Amino acid sequence: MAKSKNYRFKNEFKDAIIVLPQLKKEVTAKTLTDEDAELIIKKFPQVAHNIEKIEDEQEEPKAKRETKKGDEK
Amino acid sequence: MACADLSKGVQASCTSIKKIGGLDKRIYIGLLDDLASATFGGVGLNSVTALTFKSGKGLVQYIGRKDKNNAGVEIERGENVTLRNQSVNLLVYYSDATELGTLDALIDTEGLFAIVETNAGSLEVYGLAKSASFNNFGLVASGSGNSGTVMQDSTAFNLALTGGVPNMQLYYNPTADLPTNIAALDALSIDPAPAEV
Repeated sequence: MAKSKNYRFKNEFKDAIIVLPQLKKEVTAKTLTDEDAELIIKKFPQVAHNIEKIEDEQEEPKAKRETKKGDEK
Repeated sequence: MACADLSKGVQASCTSIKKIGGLDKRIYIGLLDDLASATFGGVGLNSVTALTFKSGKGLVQYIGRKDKNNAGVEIERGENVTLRNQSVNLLVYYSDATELGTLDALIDTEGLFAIVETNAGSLEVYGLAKSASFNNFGLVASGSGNSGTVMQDSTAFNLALTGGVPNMQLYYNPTADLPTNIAALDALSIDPAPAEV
């Protein structure tokens, strides 16, 4: 079960294991936390392509609902 | 508590039966402490898909001659851990003070890893442990060289990079093709090969 609420590994990299030796840290899809994801995006941009923000997908249905409401009016 | 897991075998494919031996003349060498991150393949995969270096750091290239380099693994059983003793052997051809000084510096460097290109078309990484503590491992240099006795003798230095690692060697980004991977490694090189090589 993923620990991060806002980020996840992209599907094509879901098996990847990112190792940050200075921090002695091993990050996988199962262990990814929000803090890990933010650290990777900020400090290790070259490996940030492995992860993505989840909220992008959630915003889409919300936007569609709003459009429907507008249509009803 | 059961620690053993046996769920897969290895069946020889046509590719593996016909796989040719030997290494390319170029070997990439890096320092584990210079790595900012490594991305490994998933559980059960001996692969590293990406390496990134700290600012200003990178790979160096040792380019020798065709059919002179080799790499290997020997298993050494221990009380708790069975090590895969990895080695990369290359002939270093030098002819000036800078090249000899560079070789001298490499001999004193610990925690090395090497990426070799096999004649079969894969890139393999030696000295890199698939672990969060990979910079605790690595290869060190040893070897010998001499002037030769007669004119036809070799004057190259036999350099051996060896070290115990808890896993076999790793394939470098095996899902990408060789030219793509070589371009990526060249981009990570801070001491690239001369254009004519």
